[in-house]
Amino acid sequence: MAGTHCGPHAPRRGRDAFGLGLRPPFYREAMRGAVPVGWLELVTENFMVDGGRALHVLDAVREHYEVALHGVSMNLGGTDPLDEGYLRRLEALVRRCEPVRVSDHLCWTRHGGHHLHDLLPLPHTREAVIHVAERISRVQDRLRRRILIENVSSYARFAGDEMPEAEFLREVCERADCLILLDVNNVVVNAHNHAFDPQLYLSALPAARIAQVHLAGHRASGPLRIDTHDRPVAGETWALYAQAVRRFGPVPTMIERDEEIPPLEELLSELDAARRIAAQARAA
Amino acid sequence: MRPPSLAAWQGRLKRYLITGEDDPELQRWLAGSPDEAVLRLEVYRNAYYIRLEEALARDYPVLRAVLGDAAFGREMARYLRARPSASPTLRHVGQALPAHFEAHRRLPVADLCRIERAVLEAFDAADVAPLGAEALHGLPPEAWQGLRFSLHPSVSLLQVASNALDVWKAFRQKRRMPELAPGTARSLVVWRSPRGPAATAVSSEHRFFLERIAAGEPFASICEALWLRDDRREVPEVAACYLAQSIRNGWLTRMRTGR
Repeated sequence: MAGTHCGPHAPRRGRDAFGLGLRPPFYREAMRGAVPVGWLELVTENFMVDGGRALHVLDAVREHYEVALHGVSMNLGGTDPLDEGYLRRLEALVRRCEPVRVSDHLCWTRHGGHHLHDLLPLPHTREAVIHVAERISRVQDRLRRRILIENVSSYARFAGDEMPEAEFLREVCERADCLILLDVNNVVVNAHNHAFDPQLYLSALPAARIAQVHLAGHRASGPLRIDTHDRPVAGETWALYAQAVRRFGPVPTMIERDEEIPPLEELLSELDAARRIAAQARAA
Repeated sequence: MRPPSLAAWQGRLKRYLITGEDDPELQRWLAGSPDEAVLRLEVYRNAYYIRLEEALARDYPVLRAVLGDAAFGREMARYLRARPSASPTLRHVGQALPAHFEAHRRLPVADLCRIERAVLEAFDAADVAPLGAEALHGLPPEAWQGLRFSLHPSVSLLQVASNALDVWKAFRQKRRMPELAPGTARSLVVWRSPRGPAATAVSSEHRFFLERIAAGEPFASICEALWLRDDRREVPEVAACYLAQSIRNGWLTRMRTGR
């Protein structure tokens, strides 16, 4: 599907490339444009409603900010048919808020009509590459734009994997001609959980497709690291982020915090750290 | 080792997550030792239950307060095994909870769940301007014959046979909750008021009136049906009173005249 999608949906550069995930504790500030960031990312499914407060918040936020839509339930890796109702609602939401980016995950979330509400891992096989890429292409054709696919954190790997994770992500995105939302924290988590070199991971990715970066915190749990989004970004993640900036340039970057959300000032100061690290990395 | 097909992997992992029962085949597919595979799969199983139980606790705060944390957790685990989520939206995970408790003949609990569910649905209902009282001013008498209204999308009509509404209200007003118990049949209206979701009891006749409006019947036919239901001379006054109260509460929208 290369070259068939219309509209300049690449990231806007030159303005403030740093954003935050919009969360209820700071809806009020965002609705009056009082969050000093360049853009906000919304969890798509939270705004797939007929009316009420969610859409009121969305319309008010949109008065002040560009928004990115980030979905968790498109089930791109699933073997159930793509959910027609979901896509219809997504199309309507895209029309309503004209997001700068639309993203979802390289995973599966539903099977046999049951939604599992988790980002579940795929085997890294040729079969999976072909299957997921075909579904991404169908979504892109439907939305008439390229979407971004995020690498997920994972706790399980298959004995029969046919390729490493970074190659799997690259193959899917090249085959579907989609963009990549690189979650640097997920690379750190997976590098620990599956014993790979995170720098080799970055070097295997196609730089031109990296269109957004996520930063978040994680926790150790026994021998594994768990992607919890409930604490500040870890030192290792900042270090890998600096390398990502050196390799991929100034890509729109945001912090995801979903649990134990601190006061907004704290998140903003963490975002300032991202700005500083990115500036230093670019200058180096 | 050959990797599993996508369908086989997804079917088996789904079964494992929902039932919580170990599956040796899943363990064999994963890299690492069997013990390691068990540990890694458990991360997903635990996360599944924690995430969904948290979502249910957010959506059913009164039920949680009534049952207590431990019983709520047990009940929700039972519910999630019996009725896995059928919606991509986490807010719909508890959609079948009223039916679940009804099937287990826990009717007052089912009533409370119905109220909490209707509150959630009211919260996300479509934004449609409610009908103002001025809409009826100056209507010529002949227009009343074919006049029809619609219920506001946030309105739910419920029937309960318990004190679930009193329990719900006490929780919302931070008062001591009465014990949830069976009681006489009551008709309820749940809707989104300008101050947020609201619920109130109405007479069975008022409920009948609202059901007819929801069915799209003309106002004149509803008056006739009210008269047939209870041969009362003051039917026009009663209907006018229901209409005024419904408009005042923002339960009606879209008025159409003509047949």
